[in-house]
Amino acid sequence: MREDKITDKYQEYISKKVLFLLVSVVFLIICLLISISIGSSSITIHDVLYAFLRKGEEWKVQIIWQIRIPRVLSAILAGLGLSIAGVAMQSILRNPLGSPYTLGVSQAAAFGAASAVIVLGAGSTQSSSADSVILNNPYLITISAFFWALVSTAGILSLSKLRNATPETLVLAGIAIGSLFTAGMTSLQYFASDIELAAVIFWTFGDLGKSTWRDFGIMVVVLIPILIYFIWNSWNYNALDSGDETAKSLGVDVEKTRMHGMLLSSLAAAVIVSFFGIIGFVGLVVPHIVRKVIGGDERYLIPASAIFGAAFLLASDTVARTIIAPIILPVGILTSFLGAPLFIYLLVKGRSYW
Amino acid sequence: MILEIKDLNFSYDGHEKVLEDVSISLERGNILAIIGPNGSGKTTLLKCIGNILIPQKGSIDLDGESLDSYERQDIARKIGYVPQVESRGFPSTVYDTILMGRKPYISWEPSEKDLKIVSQIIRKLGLESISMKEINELSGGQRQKVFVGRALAQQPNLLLLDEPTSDLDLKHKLEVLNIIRHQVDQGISAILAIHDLNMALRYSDRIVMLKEGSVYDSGGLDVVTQENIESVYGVKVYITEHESWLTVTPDKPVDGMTID
Repeated sequence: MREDKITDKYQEYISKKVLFLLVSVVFLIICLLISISIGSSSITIHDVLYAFLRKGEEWKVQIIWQIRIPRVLSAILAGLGLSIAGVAMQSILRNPLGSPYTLGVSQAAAFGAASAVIVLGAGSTQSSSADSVILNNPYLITISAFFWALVSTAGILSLSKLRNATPETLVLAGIAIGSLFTAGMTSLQYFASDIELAAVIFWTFGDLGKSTWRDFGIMVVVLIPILIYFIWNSWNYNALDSGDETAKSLGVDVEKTRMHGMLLSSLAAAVIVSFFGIIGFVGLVVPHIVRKVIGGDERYLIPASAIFGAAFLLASDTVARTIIAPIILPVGILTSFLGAPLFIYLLVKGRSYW
Repeated sequence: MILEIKDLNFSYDGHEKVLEDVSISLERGNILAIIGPNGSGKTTLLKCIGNILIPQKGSIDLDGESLDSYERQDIARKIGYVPQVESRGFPSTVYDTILMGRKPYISWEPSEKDLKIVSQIIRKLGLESISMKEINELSGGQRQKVFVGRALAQQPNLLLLDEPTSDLDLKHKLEVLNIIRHQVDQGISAILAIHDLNMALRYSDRIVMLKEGSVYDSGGLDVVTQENIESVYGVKVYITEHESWLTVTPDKPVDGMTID
């Protein structure tokens, strides 16, 4: 009888986590409907629901399907991808300060994307208006972003193997790597033509304004399998949280799990950066908020961070594009305003937070 | 014979040997205590047996088959390991921590049976009232019980424990070792790396004495003699018997620092 009680208590605890997952989904759907309806043209939620069925006034359907929905879906995917990259990096490096942005992976990816345009010529300048470069080769840009993201990831991983590498050391190294690539990007801009410069500058602060259906397709193909991989391996990441030795004794291939995890989280970050530029702090903040509410069990932490992260970035983007309308703020600015204070809080609180 | 180790050699990449030609065998239902001074290779030996470190030379047979021939998952079902210190990144509840021991059996969702086993262990270890607490809020003794519980949840044939009692008060020491003794009496085996010679004498059936990475002596409790301890630890001791329990009382280092 008493054993049943212990099990019941645990199942009650688990059902709270499931409830949080459901609430996050509902929150995401509400954000989605509101976000599609808010903007410079007045559209009601009613119109939005109609437009899903391709009904209603033609111009509204056009705006909803061609402008609003790609942007909203991109925000969802970017938020999801950055959050799972953050969860994975925090677990793999056993470091509460880990995320693509704080470890310099995002900056490296942005440098890779910019160098693809300026050095490898991935953008064409034969555009109709003289002030923009058509980025006609998203694959080359993404691959270059991924390559440089891997370079910084390799740096972080080899540093993390050092015996005296504390979480703080790693983040300091990440800041150094980030600065290095930011400097690289700035120097690239000296060699860029004015037109290229305009294209390149966009990678320095994240903006979801360039979302198209093609970008969305590429992101789905890359990010959804990565999400499934992490959810599928959540027991391995749980084991990793208990330390390498314990994880090994539980049958986890620690080196493989760590390598694959870093590789995939860097890929997720690189793809998002190559389409939207650096959106800082999402990968750091979201896992912490979710962990505070439902605890550290990766089986729930990973999917909940994905959903909550999607809603978080979508809400941020909606605020960013309406707060000082008609000016549209890049969402990266807003997430940095939200994320930087939390980052400082974590640094000050340090280990006692855990 | 549950475990048969022959001529084991290990060194951390390129450095000098930590273990040299170590041979040990262990029968079912026995507790083996590995004793020896700091740096004698106790922890390394346990990690080699637990497949956490891969020895450069020698063989380890578990249940009559070479450890190499098992899948990771199978080893995790046969050997439970409790490390000396566990450096956690993020908090985890007592229940979740012990449930982790079921990982070698779980594909994704823990079954009724997994939950039942975990709840049984929690009850057996007397952790009911704290089953939903975070483990970093617990005392050292409670936490050690949780880690032993996780290893028990693996339902292993062989338990490896690295200094299971080093940070515990006297009562918790006895409690943890009693739990291990009780499990071993149900037909599994255990190997302890242990500093406390009196606890080793009190709870183990077999003793291996390591000195500088080699087996200095091994056998029953009679291995613990004044001469052996003097030679391995460099300490002069008295061994007394009280109601059939042997007790080691240290006197002084043989050629160590003396303060007059």
